Amino acid sequence: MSGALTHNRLGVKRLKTSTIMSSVMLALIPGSILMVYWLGPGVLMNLTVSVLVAVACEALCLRCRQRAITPMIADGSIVLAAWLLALCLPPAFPFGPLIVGTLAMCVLGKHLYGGLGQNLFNPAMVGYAVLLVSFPTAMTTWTQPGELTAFNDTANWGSWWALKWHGVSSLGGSWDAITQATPLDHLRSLERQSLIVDVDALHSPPWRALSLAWLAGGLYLLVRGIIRWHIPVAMLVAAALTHLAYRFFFPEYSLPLLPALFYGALMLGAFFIATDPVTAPSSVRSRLCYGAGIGVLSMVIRTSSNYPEGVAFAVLLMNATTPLLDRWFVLDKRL
Amino acid sequence: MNHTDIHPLSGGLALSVPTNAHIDATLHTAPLAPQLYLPLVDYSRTVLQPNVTLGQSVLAGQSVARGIIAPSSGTITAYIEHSWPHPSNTQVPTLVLQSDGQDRFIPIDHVHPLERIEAAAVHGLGGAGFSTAAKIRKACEFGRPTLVVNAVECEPGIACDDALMQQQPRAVLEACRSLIELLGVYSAQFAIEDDKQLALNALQACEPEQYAVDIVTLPVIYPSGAEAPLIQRLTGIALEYDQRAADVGVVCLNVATVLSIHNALQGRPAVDRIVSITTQDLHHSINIRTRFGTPVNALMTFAASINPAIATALQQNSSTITVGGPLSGFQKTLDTSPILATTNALLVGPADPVPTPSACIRCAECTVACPVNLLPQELYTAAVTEDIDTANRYLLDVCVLCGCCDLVCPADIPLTSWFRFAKDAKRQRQQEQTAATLARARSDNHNERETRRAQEKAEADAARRAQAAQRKESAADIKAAIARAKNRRPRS
Amino acid sequence: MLWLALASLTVLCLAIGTAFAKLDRANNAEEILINSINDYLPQTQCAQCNYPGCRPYAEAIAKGEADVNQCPPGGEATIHALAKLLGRDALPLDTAYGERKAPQVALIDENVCIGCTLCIPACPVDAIVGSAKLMHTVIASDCTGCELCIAPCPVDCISLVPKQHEVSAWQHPAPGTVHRKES
Repeated sequence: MSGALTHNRLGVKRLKTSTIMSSVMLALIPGSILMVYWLGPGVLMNLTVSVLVAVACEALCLRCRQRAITPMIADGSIVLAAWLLALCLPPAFPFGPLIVGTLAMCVLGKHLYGGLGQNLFNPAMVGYAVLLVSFPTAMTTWTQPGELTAFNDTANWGSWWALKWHGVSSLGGSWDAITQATPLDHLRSLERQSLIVDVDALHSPPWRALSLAWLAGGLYLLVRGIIRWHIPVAMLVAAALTHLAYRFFFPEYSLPLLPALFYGALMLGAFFIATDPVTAPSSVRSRLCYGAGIGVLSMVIRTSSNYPEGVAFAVLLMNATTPLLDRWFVLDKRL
Repeated sequence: MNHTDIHPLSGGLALSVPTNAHIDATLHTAPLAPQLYLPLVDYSRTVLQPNVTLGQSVLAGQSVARGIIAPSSGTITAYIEHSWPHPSNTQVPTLVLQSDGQDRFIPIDHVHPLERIEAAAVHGLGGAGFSTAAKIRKACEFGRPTLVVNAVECEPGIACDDALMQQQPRAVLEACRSLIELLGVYSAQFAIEDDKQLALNALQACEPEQYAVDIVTLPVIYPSGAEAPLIQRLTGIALEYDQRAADVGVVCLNVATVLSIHNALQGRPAVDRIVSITTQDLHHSINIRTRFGTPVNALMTFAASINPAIATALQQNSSTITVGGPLSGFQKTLDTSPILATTNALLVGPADPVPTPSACIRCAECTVACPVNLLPQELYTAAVTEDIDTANRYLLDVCVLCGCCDLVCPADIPLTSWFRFAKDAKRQRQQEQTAATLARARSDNHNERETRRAQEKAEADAARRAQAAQRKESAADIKAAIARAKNRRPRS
Repeated sequence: MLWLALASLTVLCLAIGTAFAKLDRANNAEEILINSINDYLPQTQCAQCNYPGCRPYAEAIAKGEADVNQCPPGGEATIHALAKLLGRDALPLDTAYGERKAPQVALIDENVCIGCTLCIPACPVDAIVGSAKLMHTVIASDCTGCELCIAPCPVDCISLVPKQHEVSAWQHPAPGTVHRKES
């Protein structure tokens, strides 16, 4: 009834939901390839299992809720969420908890709120938070970049398979040699012991390259018009300022600014997680406020808490403020 | 006034029309139809009572119902249920006027200018079709109003105002001056888009300064022609919740309406308007001056006879047209529905098919596009759940139903249709509540009165019973006394 | 020790429970509840719910004697509002009490009316005017369409007609909803 002519007849450019989702996935590809290259088949296994379980669970949930299944899966939103969750997990993360996390993401994070578009919290981050509080050791045990990454070696695949099913013990004594805490954890323990940190000694090139890959993907999304600049820029600027403030007031946090921004999940979070349209606010001002909130909180959590990385919790906390920010900045301002 | 003086509009869309569009700015005049149909419904869809009888002969400009005049002279031959150009696809009580072809006018000679405008039945020729006299009266309550003449064509494919300005620039400017005099203001702001170069040239050639008309050119952004966004851009006043232009002392009138007012002041009633007839691909457009009440099919036949492209389009889609512009239009069967004051355009052919919507992902493209700064995604959720209170919190009333959000929605959600639905649901709810409040008060009154009456009756009965008992008692006393007396007196 | 703990806890629970129950009853809570229920009823006073009017029905609901689905003029909207207010299940309308109709008003056929005045006290909202041996008429804007005047009329001159023309009552329909599976 309304709109006798459609957008293409009136020269309005618009994106389809499936275009948005597939573009984001396209932007994730370079970083994902790097991650698989540096960290080995475990990442690939995480991705496959998480996506398969998520799609199956989505179909089941839609069936229970008596919704049409095919169009909702075809739009790619659940694959994207599972992909993002898998990228946040250590390569050696066992299958059992992985499935638990994916189910939590799909059911707790999405369908209990009413499915796509209705959820208050970012589903991938809900899954991540559930895993981080339930399996803290497994979540913080990363293999060293470059270890066990031979892809043409069946024995290597075998040991990963065993690792994923039986956990750390399957590797025996050799395990310690190839694992480390997350780079930031490692960094912090060094800082706490008042050791002088040699940044380059932290195997930084892989992590830095990974962050650059996320940044590149994010820039692609900005150019395509899939995301708008407000949230990522506000988040990174706020994170940088918070870090500088920490360095000013607490000189023992000695990490320079750029490494701090390029470590951890900050880039992935800024361009791929905080910009999730469903859980982010709508107007320019509320988006700036939201991004800045995530930036500050993630640096505060990263530096002052016991968790290795703060982006997930920062995103979840700011998700909770989204309806308030929208009401405040868009509606209440004019009343 | 330069572009720099114009306040920015947040949101809106730059719509493109086909670059090779052939817009015929000649003003054709449709022949007077033998039968004119006058639906007796006002803008709020209230059915009006006719004040003429069957067989009565009327003059053009003579009132046939409150706010409705005969568009030509002739005889009222029937009072029937007839279709009309409205999305409801309903039939409404309609008077049929058999025109006598002489087109005799009744003179309008009221002394007060506003009464003249009212008697001439001038209604807004832009979109909503409000009574113009009421609008002016309201705006003048606050002292000297600001006058805005709206020559911004709302949607692509509608060129009726453009054609009017190109063909009769001097009449338009004179009309502005008489309105300036009527309102007692110093000047009029005449808003026009900067892509209407021909109309601008025509107006400038007539020296608008002499008419105290200040021409303001606006960059083309849809929907600058809607009242609230236009006032926002010209005056910087953002209309508040539940306000119309008149509430802030702005008289905002469509340019064709201004000419109607001028004619009314000269004594000529408002009996016609210019209708744009456009092919569905927006490539060909013609403008026809048409009497109100002319059947749409007669007008279409005339249009086809003067423009071959429209004739071809009409042959391809002989049964369906779209009434209104490409954004606000609705589909209608081509029949004898009459042209009304609000019928600004007809598109030949059916509307585009509506795609199947998918779930809202709250991408906020609609928020960016909204020209009145609403949160369409939140309003949509409220509308789907018929949660009118929440819809009110998200300012449902402010929505101007421009359709920008529909055009940008990645999930193909018909947001504007949902908002129309919610607005109607809200109106329905309000009517029900008013009726309930009234009925409750009357029922309480009724019950209280009945109770009081019953009580009074009971009291009165009790009193009467007591009196009777007393009477019986005293009667018994008398008897006893008589008996005693009798006993005392010995029988003689 | 265990018994002491149990006893003291029981006493504490009883005391607090009683206090809360008292508080709940206090401040004419019942009256407030009845009023809020009555606010949701359509006030047609039609007595289709088998109570003599909207307020008596509200009182019956508040006492738990009546269910929320006995009001045909209110329909689903009233049922849902009441169910939400009272925390009960929203049952479908019990059609034993009647079905929801389009808004209607009573109309007296003035040629047939004998002026008996029987319908005047029957109208719960005083919407009928008239006097003995004189023609009666219904004030359409005040009539709730309750049908209570139909039965008392000895010459059956009262009928019910739609309240508005179809076009005034028309509403834009809801567009199709999102991907709901056809059942």
